[in-house]
Amino acid sequence: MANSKHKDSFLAGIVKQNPLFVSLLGTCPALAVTMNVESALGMGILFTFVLCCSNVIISLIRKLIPDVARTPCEIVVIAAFVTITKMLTEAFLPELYNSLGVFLSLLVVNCIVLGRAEAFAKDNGVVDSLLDGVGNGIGYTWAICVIALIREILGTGLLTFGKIFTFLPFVEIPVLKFGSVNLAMSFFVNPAGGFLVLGVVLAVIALIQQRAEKKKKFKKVAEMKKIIHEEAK
Amino acid sequence: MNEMLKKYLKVSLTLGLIAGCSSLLIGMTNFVTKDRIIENAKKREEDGLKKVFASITKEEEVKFEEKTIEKEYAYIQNIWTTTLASGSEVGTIYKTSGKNAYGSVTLLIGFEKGKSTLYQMITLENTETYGAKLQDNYIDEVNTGDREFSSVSCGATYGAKLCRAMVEECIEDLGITTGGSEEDTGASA
Repeated sequence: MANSKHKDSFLAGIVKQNPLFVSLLGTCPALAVTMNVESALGMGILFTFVLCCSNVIISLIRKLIPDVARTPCEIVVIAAFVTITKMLTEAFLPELYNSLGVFLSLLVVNCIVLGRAEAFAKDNGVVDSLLDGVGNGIGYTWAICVIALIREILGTGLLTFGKIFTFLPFVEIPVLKFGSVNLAMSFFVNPAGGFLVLGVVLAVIALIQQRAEKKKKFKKVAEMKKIIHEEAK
Repeated sequence: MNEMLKKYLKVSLTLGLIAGCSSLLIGMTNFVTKDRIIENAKKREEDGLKKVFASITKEEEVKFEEKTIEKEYAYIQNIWTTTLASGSEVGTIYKTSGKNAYGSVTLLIGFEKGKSTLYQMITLENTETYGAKLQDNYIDEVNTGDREFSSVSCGATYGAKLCRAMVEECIEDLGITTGGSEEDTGASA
């Protein structure tokens, strides 16, 4: 029973209740930091760290916080972890810090972080809150990485690694670049391109969901017909 | 009345406790990271200084001598004189930093010796609100000579105006320090 609850807390945010693709939360950083895969991945990791830490602490102190001061307390906890993350990134990953710019500080007001604290951590235990944070973090990370992958390939024609995570070897993989011919369109690394890619990805997800629901409905109808047919016999 | 007082006391104590713990954590992180952050900023500045006259100095060793700033400037923070190992002076580099409602920009601005025209701008910091647009549409174009530094309509106009004001302050200072005439300062990239 407890194991199944843990599993649900972890898995919900990854696909079923994906914060970006299903709940449409956190779209601002999802458009701003998805010009390349590395910065999207960096943002995702930092986001997961902040979400997990704030979820754990808010869950730990949930019985101590008076209801009237709940939101200010949650914001103080989130702001503390964002500031700590910002300092650590500036010190140890300066390239990532520069590439994320103001969007790292803006995690303080990110609706997913505050939303998970309000909707989950304040009513659940520490382990479940941690798993919820990890699940939502992974869900958000893969979602922004998908957008970044599409934008980087279509916008630059290349996939670059080692530019932001300088501890990795620098690798440039030409995807739409063949010798002197570059099929990339810089439009996709611009904000308008970000909106377009996000829109198309959401449309594709909606299409898949609709088809799955239709299939389910057909299956149900077929089963009911079978039962009616058998009863009639 | 007592109930109310208790309630308020509980709220303020809880908030105070959480804020205190948070500030303690932040303070500890600051203690661990501050030296590294200063080191990173210094390294970025050193790398930037080497880039300003890179096309002139090629692979020769360069020395940067920092000048003491005597007057108060709106944007200028540091001034360096660049000299080659052989002793010949290459030019002057200004570190300028400015801020407006849209964000902040820190630039290294180089002026070749004997000319009071802008040689190159190197971005040290450029907040995301200005983002790549200011770099691509203004700073890079001025550096390549495709744009006059005074022409600021570029899609990141407010940032470009800030950069222009910084360059103008440097030119004004250069006119004073080198004793150059007004005609010399008709800066173009």
